[in-house]
Amino acid sequence: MSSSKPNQSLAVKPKRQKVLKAWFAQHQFHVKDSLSRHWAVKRNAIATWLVISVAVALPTLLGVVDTQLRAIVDSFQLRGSITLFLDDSYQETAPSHLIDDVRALSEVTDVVYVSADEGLAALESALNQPGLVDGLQGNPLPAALVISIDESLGEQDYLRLADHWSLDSNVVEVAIDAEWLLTLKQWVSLIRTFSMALGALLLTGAVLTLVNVINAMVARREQELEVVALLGGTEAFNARPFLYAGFWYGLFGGALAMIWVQLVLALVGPNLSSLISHYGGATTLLDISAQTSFWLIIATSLGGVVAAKFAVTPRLKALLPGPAPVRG
Amino acid sequence: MIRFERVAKRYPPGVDALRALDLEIDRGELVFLTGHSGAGKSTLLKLILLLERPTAGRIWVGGENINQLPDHRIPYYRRHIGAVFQDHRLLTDRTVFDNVALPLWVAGVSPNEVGKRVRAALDLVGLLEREKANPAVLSSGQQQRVGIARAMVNKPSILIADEPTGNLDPALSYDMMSLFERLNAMGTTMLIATHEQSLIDQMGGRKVELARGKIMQPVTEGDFSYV
Repeated sequence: MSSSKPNQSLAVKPKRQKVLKAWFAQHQFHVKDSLSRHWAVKRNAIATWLVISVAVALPTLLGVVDTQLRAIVDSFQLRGSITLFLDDSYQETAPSHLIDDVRALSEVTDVVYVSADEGLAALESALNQPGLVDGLQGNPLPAALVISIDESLGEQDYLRLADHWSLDSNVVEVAIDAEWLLTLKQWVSLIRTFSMALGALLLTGAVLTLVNVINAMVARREQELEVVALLGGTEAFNARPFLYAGFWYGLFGGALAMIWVQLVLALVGPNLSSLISHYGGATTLLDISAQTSFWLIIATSLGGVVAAKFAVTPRLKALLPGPAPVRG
Repeated sequence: MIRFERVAKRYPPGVDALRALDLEIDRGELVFLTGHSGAGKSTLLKLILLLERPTAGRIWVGGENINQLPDHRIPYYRRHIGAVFQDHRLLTDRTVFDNVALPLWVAGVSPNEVGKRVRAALDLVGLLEREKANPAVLSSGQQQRVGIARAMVNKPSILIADEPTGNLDPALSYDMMSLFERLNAMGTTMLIATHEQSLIDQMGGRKVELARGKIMQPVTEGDFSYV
C-alpha cells in the first residue's frame, strides 16, 4: 500500500470517464445499501408504504370513478322534450303565434298542443283509474305545448331554450324532461371538485409523512454523514442514500396503491355497472390501464425522491463540517 | 508536502488556538505533534483536513494553497488525506469490512476492487479474520486498527491521527505506533498528534512540540523555547 503520486493537485476532480465509472460504482453501492437498509427496517418501511399507498390509492380511485362516471353521464342523452304550460286563456285552443315561434327554431323537431282536457284524460289513463276525474269540480290542469328537441343538443341548449320560452307571457311554467340528468351532472362536477381537493390533501399528507421519515433517517445517521464527509464524500454522495430511500418508499407505496385500486375496482365495478344499466346508461367496466398504473408508480417514485430531497438538503447543509470563510 | 506559513487560528470570542505558526513537513516524513491539551494540535490537524479555515496565513498541501480551495473541491481533497481519530468514529451498524470499504465507495471504486483493497488493508492491520464482525464487539485496540485500515485503504498521500492511542493501554499504544511507523515506511506522510511524550521518545520520526498555539524548538537538549 503506497501513497499516491507526487506533484499532483490533491483537490482535482477526476476526469469525466473516471467520474462516470465512479458514479456508476457509487450508485451500485447505494442501490444495494439502501435496499438492504429498507429490508432491515421492514416493519417501519411497510407501515410507510401503507400510508403512501392509501394516500395515493384514494385520489386515484376517485379519479377513475370520476372519469368513468362522466363518460357514463355523457352517454345519457337528453332525449326528452320541453313542456310549456300555458295560462288559462289557452285551455281549449292553441296559441298559434307561440306555436309558430317555436316551430321557427331550428332546434325544434316537433310541437304538439295538449289541451287541458287531453291532459286530464292522459293523466287518468296513466294512473289507470277510470272515473277519477269525475269527482273534480273543474279541470285543474293547464294546457301545454310539448316540444320535441333535436337529440344532438346538449344540456346548455336545453337550458337556453327553456329560459327563452319562460319569458313568454302566455307560458306559466317551463319543464325540461329528464331534469334529473342535469342535476346528476352538477353532482358529478361537485364530486370531481371534492375529489381533487381530497386528493391534494392526501398527497400532501403522504409527502409530509415521507419528509418526516427521511428526517428521522437523517437524524439516526448523523454520525455516518459526518464520517462520510470526512472521508471525502460530496454532498450528493451523502444525500443519495436518502434519495434512494425516498425512491423505494414511493415505488413500493405506489405499487401497493395500484393493487388497492385494482381490488376496489374489482369489488365496486359490477355493482356500479348494474346500477348504471338501470338508468339506461352504457355499462362500462371500471378499470385503470396498465400504462396509467405504470406512470402513476413512476410518479410516486419520483415524488418520493423529491420529498426526500426536500427533507435532506437543509439537514445536510447544517450537518456537514464545511469550513468557515477566511477572515482578514 | 505540507507547509504552514504564519498560520493563525482564532476562535470566538478571541481565543488564539494557533499563532503565526510556521511548519514544513516533507513528503514521506513521520511527524509527531506533541503538547498539552489546548496547545493547538487538534486545530492544526483540523486545518489540514479543512474542517476549519485559518484566520490568517497560508497552508500548502501537495503544492496547493488549500485556503483557496472552493467548498465543492474539498471532498476531492479530503480523499487524499487519511484520518484516524481517538474515538475511532466507526459505524456500528456496519461490519468491519463495510467500515473500511466506505472511503472506496465514496471514491467510486468498483466493487471487485473494493473487496481486494479492503482485505489488503485489513491484512495490514492484522484484522482480516474479523472482517464480518461488528466494530462494537471489538476491543478498543482492534477498533483503532479498523480506523487505521479505513484511513489507509484509499492509499492517501497524507495520514493524520489525532490522539490515536488516547484510549489504549501502554502495550497497545506501542503496537499502534509501531504500525504507524510501518505504514510510514511505505511512503505515506504522517502527522500524529499525541501528548504521550514517553511513547514517541521510543519512535523514530520528528517531534514538533506545540504550546499555546506556537511551536517550541529546543535551544539545547531539554530546553525548549517558543519560536
